[in-house]
Amino acid sequence: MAVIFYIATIIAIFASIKVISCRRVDKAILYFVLLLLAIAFIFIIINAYFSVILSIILFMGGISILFLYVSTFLNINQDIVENGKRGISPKIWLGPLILTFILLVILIYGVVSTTYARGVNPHNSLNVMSPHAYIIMIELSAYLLLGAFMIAYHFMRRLFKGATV
Amino acid sequence: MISLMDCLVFASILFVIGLLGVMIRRNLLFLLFSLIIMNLGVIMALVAAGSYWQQFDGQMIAILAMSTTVAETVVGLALLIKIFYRRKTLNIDSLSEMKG
Repeated sequence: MAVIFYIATIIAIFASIKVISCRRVDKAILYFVLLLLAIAFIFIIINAYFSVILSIILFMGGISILFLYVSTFLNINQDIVENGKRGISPKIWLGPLILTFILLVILIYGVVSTTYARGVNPHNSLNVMSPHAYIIMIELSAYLLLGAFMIAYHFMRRLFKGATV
Repeated sequence: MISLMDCLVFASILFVIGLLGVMIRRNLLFLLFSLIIMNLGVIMALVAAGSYWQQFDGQMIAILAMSTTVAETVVGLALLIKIFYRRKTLNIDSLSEMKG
């Protein structure tokens, strides 16, 4: 099981590096879907089945389709910002790479040097969701999504109000 | 059984890759991709901790983090469409008008 976990980890890291360094938008969306699949597989390995379902519905069904729709709606398939003389050259990415590498070393040192104690009394019903204990969190996330929907509708309504389509 | 340390190291690697993407790209679409990758690292750490201690609270906070990610993406894409119609470009350096 551990070997499969490491293979999925390597695939996810490779896909995320390709997402941030890719120049074509459609290839970036495909690598992003690959990253989401690898992370959903890791969730299955560590026995978090509810998060797998939620990640598939929200990320693959929501976000990647939304990106695909926007990139076809605005007809952008090639990144025209970053080519030319001030593109992704080593002069641009060398300084941030050193800084983030130092941050990564600090984070990994903090993770490795901590001792993880086991919990006192674990729940027996991990995958049985109690609807009464967490009702406030569900309501909070529902209000968050409603607010985002209202903001997006407001922008698009003011954008298309004068257009006669 | 996967140890918690491997999951947390993987989550921090994912977070750092997203931070690098935020720092090196100037296209707004790829900036949103990098922000989602950072949020995925956070969600990975939450789910791994909740699965290690056998409590449901980690996955519950992960639900909140996932809906935060979706809300951020929706608002970011609406702003992207508005910027693209006004400026005809996705370069976020074109938004600094004051030069200050």
